[in-house]
Amino acid sequence: MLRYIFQRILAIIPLVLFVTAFVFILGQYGASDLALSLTIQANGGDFDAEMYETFRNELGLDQPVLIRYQKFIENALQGDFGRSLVLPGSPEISAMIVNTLPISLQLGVAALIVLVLIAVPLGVVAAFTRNSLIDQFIVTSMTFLSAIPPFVLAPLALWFIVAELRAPLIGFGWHGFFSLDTILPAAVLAAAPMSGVLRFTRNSVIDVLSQDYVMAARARGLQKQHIIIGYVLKNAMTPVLTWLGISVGRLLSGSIFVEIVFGIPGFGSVAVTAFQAGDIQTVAATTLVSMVIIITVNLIVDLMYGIFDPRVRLGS
Amino acid sequence: MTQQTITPITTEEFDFMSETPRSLWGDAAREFRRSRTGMLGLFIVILVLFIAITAQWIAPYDYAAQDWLALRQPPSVEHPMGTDAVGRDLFSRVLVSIQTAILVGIIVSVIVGIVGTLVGATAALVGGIVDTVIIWVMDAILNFPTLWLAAFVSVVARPPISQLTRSLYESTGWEIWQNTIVLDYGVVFTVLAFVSWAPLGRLVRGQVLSLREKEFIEAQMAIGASRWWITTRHLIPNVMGPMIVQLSIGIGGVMLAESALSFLGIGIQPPGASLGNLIAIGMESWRSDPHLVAMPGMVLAFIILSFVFVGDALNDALNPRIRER
Repeated sequence: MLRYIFQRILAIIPLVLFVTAFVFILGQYGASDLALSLTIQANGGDFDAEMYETFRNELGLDQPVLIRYQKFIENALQGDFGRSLVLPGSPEISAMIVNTLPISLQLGVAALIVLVLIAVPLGVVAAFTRNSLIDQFIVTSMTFLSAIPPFVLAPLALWFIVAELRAPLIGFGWHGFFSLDTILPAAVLAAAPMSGVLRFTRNSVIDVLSQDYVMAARARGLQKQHIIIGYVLKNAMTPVLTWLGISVGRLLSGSIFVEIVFGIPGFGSVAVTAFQAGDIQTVAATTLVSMVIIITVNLIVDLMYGIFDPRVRLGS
Repeated sequence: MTQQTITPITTEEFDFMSETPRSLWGDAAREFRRSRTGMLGLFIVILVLFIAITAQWIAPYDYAAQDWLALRQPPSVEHPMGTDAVGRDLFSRVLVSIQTAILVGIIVSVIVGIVGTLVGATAALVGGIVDTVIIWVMDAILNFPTLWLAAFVSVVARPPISQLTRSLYESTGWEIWQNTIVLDYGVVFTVLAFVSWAPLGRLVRGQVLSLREKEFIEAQMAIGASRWWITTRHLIPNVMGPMIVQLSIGIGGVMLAESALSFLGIGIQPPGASLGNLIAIGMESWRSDPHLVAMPGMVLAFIILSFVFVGDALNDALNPRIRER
């Protein structure tokens, strides 16, 4: 088991290196443009060589590339991303991230819960009633729901629930993980990956149902519930877990929009402010943090897969 | 010795026997017609393409025409989708935005098709260190959440592209380079192509790798066909099937990404038309005028969905698979 963990960690090292290099390169490219535009802005539309140099030094562009990369990684590991030169008040980027990340994480977990509670049972039902009208209805309506972009679904859901049904699920702002207001944003956030999880669960269960050991269990006369819980679900869930891990990326993307629409002061809205302001430092920092989250989640899912399925551990 | 009579076949039998097409495309077309969602999707796609070409002529009002006597009207006969806060007809604006969406979708897909195929085929055929590096790059891109990466790259790409248009204007003197819409389109094409080529590259690489081992390629090499001949005459046509499926499903993603970027304010901005932009504007009055969000939103969702349906049906049609038990 330890060897498997070691193997997985070794496998993601080139990925982490490449991803950080990627973010770094793009960030540096943007930084030199940023220095130029800041100079022009501060100087009332003119280019001033001295000020340009100052900005470049401030952004660390005077040093050779590899040294810059090293400093970037060092600082990132310590959580220091510098101060944003674009946003009003020059806030410390790491402070912005630290303040908002927990909120987004809670929203993400809430969305995952909604996702699992809805998509997995529906997937199982669809698999058991395969090719029937119920199956087609479930799959088609879920596909339709997921095709609606999150920035469309959010205001529509808001309007429908609040204005039409007048239900007390306002959803504006953030009131904590356990408040009623979290349900709507979490549900909207979960809508995008939902059809993927549904299809994956459905296919996985169909696969398992056709296995010989299920037929043997039925032949032995085991009760249906016993078969479902003991054999089908356990074996069908492992691929679904991987898919859930992959969905985290889509949740991160979706959180950008959900947080704006619902006014939730989270990680996504920090990123959006940075995108709109052209603040490359914050953009690079937030992208790096989100990539770390995604890679970590994928690693954990891989490890869990190893725990649940011995075939993966012992090499294929 | 008995006389053996040769029974001539009738014309009806001859027609019947030669009726069924036997090529891959013929079989696929027939299979495609069986899928109801696929046909529905195809119908909408054709309709949307028609709108994209003729938007300027069939739109009842001008994109920016303001009618101050008809502010914030709900859908009606004169304004099938209602009007916005300054009296612009939403239906016309949606039609023109569809033009943008399709233009972006098609051009980006073409770029992605070319780049993805070239890179994927190169990785598979050259192999070695080149292959490893290309895989690393593709993996790195694929691990990023798409929209996030698109937004990141568009922030980075905008200044250089704006410099490019400025220098193009200086060197050619054409007024068009001054137009911000051109800048917006340039940024969007670059960003979306950059973000979307990796899945196709990976697909093509996988396909070429598996095709390389097949016997007919070995046979081609045995009779002395040049590598170019094999690549263009055998490898590429066999990759076309999955490639088309991937591209048609991908168009939906591209249009979604474009409207997402425009929604955030870093994609196609006014005076350019985009569904994402319309939704962003409509968001401000979601409570009182939900039609301003619902109309462009549902149109976008339907278009994306149609492309997904077509792609799914193409997938089922082009891949002969063992039916599920």
